[in-house]
Amino acid sequence: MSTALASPRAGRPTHVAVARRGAVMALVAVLIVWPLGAQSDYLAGVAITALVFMILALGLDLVVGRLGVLSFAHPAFFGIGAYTSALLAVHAHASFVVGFLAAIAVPTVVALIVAVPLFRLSLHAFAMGTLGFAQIAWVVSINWEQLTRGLLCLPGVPPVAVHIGPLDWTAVSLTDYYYVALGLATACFFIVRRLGRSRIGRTWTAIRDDDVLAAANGVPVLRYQMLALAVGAGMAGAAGAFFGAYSSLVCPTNLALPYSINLIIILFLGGRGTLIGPVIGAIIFTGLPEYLRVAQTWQLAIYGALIVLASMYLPEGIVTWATDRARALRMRRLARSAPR
Amino acid sequence: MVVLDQLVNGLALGALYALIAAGVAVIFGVVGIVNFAHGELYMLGAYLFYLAHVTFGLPYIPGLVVTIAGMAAFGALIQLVVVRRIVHRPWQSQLVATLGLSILFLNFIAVAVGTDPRRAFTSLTRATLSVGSVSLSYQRVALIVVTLVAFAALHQYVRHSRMGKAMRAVSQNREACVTVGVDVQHVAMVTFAIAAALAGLAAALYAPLVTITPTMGQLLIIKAFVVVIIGGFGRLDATVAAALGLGVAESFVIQYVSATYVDVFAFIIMLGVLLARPHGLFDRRVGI
Repeated sequence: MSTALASPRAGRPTHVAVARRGAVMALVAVLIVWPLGAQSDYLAGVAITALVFMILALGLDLVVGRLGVLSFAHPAFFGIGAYTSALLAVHAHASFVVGFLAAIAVPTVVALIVAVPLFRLSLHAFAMGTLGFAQIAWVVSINWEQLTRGLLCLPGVPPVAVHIGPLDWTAVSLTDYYYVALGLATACFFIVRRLGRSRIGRTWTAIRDDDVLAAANGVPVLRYQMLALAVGAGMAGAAGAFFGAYSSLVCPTNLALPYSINLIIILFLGGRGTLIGPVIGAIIFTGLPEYLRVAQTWQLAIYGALIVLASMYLPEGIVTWATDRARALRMRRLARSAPR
Repeated sequence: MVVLDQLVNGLALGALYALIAAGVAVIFGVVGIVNFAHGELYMLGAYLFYLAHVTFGLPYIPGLVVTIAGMAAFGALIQLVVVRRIVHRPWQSQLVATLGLSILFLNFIAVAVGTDPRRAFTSLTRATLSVGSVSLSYQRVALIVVTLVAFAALHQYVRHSRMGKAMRAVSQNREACVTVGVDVQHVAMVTFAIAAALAGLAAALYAPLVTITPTMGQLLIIKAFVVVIIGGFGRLDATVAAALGLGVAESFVIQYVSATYVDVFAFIIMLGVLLARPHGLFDRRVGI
């Protein structure tokens, strides 16, 4: 009995596992099929936004959830990726694929460079350092007008298009963009999942729990930290390239602080360090303001109040709270069915 | 004598930064949380001052007193209702809570009162003082003088009063205070009241010089963090000095270097300080 209680996965009966598999497959089917039937463009737009936030949240979670440090730098990487692919497309007439790859590479390199001085800092200092970096990136994007056209934004970014060999496809409708976003989000999801279950993921957890002890055990802590920041930055850059092509416009506001705040709220209230946390968080917190449109004028104030309440009563995030509740329920059932 | 003009402008800006940053620093020192909603407390103070001085027509000094008292009460209320419940949570929840408060306050005001910029002119706003060939704004001079007086008073309070000693004690070793029976939550409430009162004072002194909008506190909170980092989290005197220094430096940067990149300047200083002294500035061994 004690082994069943100690390892919840082992204790889960087969029919529950099968039901879970079925539910996941049904969810995947729905995700793929629903735009074909739905008439609403608006809903597709919201879904695309949610998927972009999901990618950003998954990337940020590598640093915030797995490594345990707070980073405000993510929108900066998103913006750098967006501007990179947009500039390449508009000025150098590069194809989307080239721009996309560059949009992954450039923020990754930037992340590797800034990681070295930043990770020397303590917790609060690191957060402020990333905030400073993000603010500098934002101010530069507004003021370096020869490059970015500042607040006038960079228009005319060509749509997502893939022309490799026999494949010749350009995204036209909102549904097309939805599928691209879904593909990107799925890829990021599996990358994060793979990393989380690997030795790298366990090392990150070790660093999060006690980085001094990890270092004493011979872990090259800085390298793992750089890896987390760089992978997250690469994903953010990819999302940026997509977003630029999707909205055909790249603005400095894409780098602005509210994005950081939204991402942090998504992570902390969705559940950081988990895999579904960022996913559910992104869905809820993109959907919530839309849902609150019912109370049109007060929606953002209500949103703020809900965040305060959630942080007071659901401190570890919704996903963690839900899994704790589920586990408590399972324990109680197991205990009840134990032989006297 | 443009230099004198810039110096006064810089000191005025620095006084504003000092009042806000001191609130953030003292809350972090005593209560242990980073209050992301502090810029919004300043903004609420500005609207309260507008209400008292413009809508109700109170003269300047009563209006100022009402603003300070009102904000102090509000600060205590925040501690009572929200902060008490998050003090025992991990710092991430505290962060999200204060961020949520910031969003709540900002949007509440935006809806309840409207986003049109307002102005709260006082008798001092247009009056100028002539020193040689330079005319200095009375409002700015008053801002600097009153701020320095307020900080001198606060310094005395923290050093010598019973509550001030309790605040210092809690900032140095919270557990020990609980052990000897100091009512830590009460101290935290007073701290919040003082911090909010400082923000209210800043609003009553500085709002006459700017337009009052719901977003007026947002850049300030970031500058306050920069100041607190440069001065040292939780150390009041250093924070005030750093604030005045930053204000003067920014004023000269605007005049002689570039007005657009002035905000970047503050962050570069902050990053420089963080890199040069990565551990020292966050040492709370000394407390406030």
